[in-house]
Amino acid sequence: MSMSKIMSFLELSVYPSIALVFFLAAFIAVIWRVMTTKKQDIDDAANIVLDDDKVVAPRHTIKQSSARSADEGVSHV
Amino acid sequence: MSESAAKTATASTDRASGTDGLEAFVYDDKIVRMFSWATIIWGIVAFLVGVIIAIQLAFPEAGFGIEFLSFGRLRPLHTNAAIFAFAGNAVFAAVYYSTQRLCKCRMWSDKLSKLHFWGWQLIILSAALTLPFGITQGKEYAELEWPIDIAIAVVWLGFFGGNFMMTLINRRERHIYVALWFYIATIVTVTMLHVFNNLWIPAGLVYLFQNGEMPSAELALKSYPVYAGVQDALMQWWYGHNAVAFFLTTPFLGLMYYFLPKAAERPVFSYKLSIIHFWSLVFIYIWAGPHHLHYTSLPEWASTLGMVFSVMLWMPSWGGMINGLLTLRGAWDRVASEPILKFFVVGVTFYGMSTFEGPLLSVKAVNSLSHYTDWTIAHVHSGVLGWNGFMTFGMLYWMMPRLFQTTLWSKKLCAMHFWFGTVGMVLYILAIYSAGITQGLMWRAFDESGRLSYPAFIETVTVLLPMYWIRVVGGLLYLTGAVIGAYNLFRTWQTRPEKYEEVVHYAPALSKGPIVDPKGKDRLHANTALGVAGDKVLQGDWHRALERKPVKFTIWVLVAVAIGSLVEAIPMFMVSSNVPTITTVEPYTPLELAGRDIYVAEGCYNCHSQMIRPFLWETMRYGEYSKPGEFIYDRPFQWGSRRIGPDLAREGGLRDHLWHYRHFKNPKDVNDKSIMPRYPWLLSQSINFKEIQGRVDSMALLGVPYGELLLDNNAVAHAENQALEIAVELESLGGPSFDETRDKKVIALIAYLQRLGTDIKKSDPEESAMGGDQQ
Repeated sequence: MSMSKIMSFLELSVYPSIALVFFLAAFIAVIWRVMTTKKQDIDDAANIVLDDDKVVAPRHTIKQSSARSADEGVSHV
Repeated sequence: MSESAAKTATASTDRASGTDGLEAFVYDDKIVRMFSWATIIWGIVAFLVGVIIAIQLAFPEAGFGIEFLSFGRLRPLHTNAAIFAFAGNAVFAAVYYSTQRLCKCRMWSDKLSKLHFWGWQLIILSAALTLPFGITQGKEYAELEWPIDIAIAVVWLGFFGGNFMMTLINRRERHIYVALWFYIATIVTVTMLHVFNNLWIPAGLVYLFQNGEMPSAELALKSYPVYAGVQDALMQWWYGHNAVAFFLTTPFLGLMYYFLPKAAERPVFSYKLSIIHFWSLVFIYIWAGPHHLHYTSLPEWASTLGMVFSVMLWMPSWGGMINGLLTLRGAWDRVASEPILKFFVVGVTFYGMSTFEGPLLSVKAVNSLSHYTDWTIAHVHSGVLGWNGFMTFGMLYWMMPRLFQTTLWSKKLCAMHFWFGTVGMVLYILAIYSAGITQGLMWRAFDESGRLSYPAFIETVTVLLPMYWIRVVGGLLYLTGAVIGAYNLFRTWQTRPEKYEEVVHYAPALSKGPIVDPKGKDRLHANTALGVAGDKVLQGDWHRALERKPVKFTIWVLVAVAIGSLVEAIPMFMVSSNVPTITTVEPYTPLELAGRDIYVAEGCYNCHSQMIRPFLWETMRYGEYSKPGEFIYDRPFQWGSRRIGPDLAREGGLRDHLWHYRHFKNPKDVNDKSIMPRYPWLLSQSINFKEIQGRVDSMALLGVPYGELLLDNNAVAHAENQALEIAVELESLGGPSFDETRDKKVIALIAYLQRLGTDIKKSDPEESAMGGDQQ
């Protein structure tokens, strides 16, 4: 029996339902992720875009003392 | 520092530890400057060609009877230039500028960046040279022929995608900012769309392998898709819709999430909302393609699926728009005085308008009115001119003075550009919305006796001409604004320093894993092993881990877009009941096939559909509605997406050969109100009969049952005989001598047109035989 015939036995109307289940599962997972994230983490992520031209050490990585301030780090060559 | 010196400094310091454990690096801004200039130059070309074809619609003589200037050939040039040259280069400029800064590192390979830039410009140039010559695949936004398709795959994935992913992997910022997620989705999905929509057989290579020679350059560049008819349509609009989604939406959302906070000098309104925006769009967008094919021969289930997901798209899209606009909270006073913010505000507003209108147009009842009308054209222009265009201009005005290490030359000219663009857009889209709705209503209007109110299609065309002229004015204003912008940025460039300063930045290398917050560590240690794992899930740690692992993130994006694609494609391709066969439908004759290829080359699908929808107003005007089984030999499908001229699905036999001959010579000879351009070259250029065998052999490779026509150049002889028959009949109707026309392209095109839609009118030989027996 060809694949085409096997597929023809499937009830096509089930596909929109499968699609909806996939979407809802993904949507719930993402909502879960954003609702359970600490405000500090979210704020840090949102501020990356404003920090990107400054020269600072990333958060939670190295000792504060070793990180240069923005002004100190920039040099013009 | 010179570029070479900067590179040397970068090379020596980029990976090495600097003082205090910091690494030094220099951003590659030269590549951003190159892409920015390319955006401006190609943008003006795209807008200029748009104005030219807008004039041609209102005044067809503006084509001057020159084949390279005909509407059918220039319109694909306009769309390709606007999408892939203007918007494409803008995306690349945004990606190269923001990715380096968000990753705190230089692009992984300068060589790949340059290969990407020059490769992409070469592709655009190839499009500009091939499309006016009628070298096209005949599928909207995927017109470029097979050698260029291969180049696109190499440049996009190999040079651009590879360089981008390696930059992400080698970044110094642990969290991958949301703008980069949108870029990842763009690269992955466009690759998938491009590859699967461009599976073809090159006809020239088939001929070369079989005969050891190449009969013409035209055949060398010709290809036929592996999909036919309904399946080709589904694949094409899966591509076409998602090209809008993943080439014109997701990268521009990345652009918005980077440049709007920069210009407003405040973070995005809600980073949480941006995460929901991203995953909802990536998951939903890919399903919506079938809404381009409502009431066609596409199966009902696929059409409904496309509509439902399109309506679902509305909410995440508006979530993104609101997120963009609210980023300006507390800065609205600056919008009044800062033209750059004006560009961004109008751009994001147009995003909101377009993403409301898109779902609206996908609702079947609305679509029955809007489809094939200029309403769709107004919709795409509000998206491209408003959303893509204004976001691009906002970005360029913000970014280019910084790249030139100077200030903008004239804020007044920038404001002037904004107003020219805005007024131009409003004029354009209002006129074309009116045109579209007028067309749709006139096509479906019945008089009191139940007959069509406007049975002559031309009546529904001439009424639009005033609106077409307003479009020309709107387009000219938008173009003028772009030229003003280009001049302003050129003058800005002239004020650059003699040598650009190369700023050395410092950042620590990324550690192998994140440093755990000590407070969190204490709590975690107090839990059992199971509790620790559960706690991580509850805190959404699985997604945060994903956000710092670019390869895994990319794989999940691919999974999200693949699910939607497979659920639609597998049943469509595997279930034979979706395309019921019609026994009387036969392959095109060799001459008809050659004529069909001329139809494709001339871009007739840009103005004519070949799809009669099952509405009374359509069947009364054009005849029996189209069936899926009628298109099984159509490679590519030619259903079209708009009707500037009437549908041609049942054109065969409606008019005699002489009418068609005179119509191609000068449409006004048979209809003095026609806005169709003249095609005098079809009457003078000869058919290359030799290459017809290559076309037939290629189709046979794809499963078309050509039988004995594949032997001993039989296809050529068959085509010559049929051409002679048509030429003789043409002469008998009062046309020119058969000797003059028998080898001309117009004869092949007439052969094709006279075949259109006639197969289902034939009687089934088996049924006839049975009927005979019974009698």
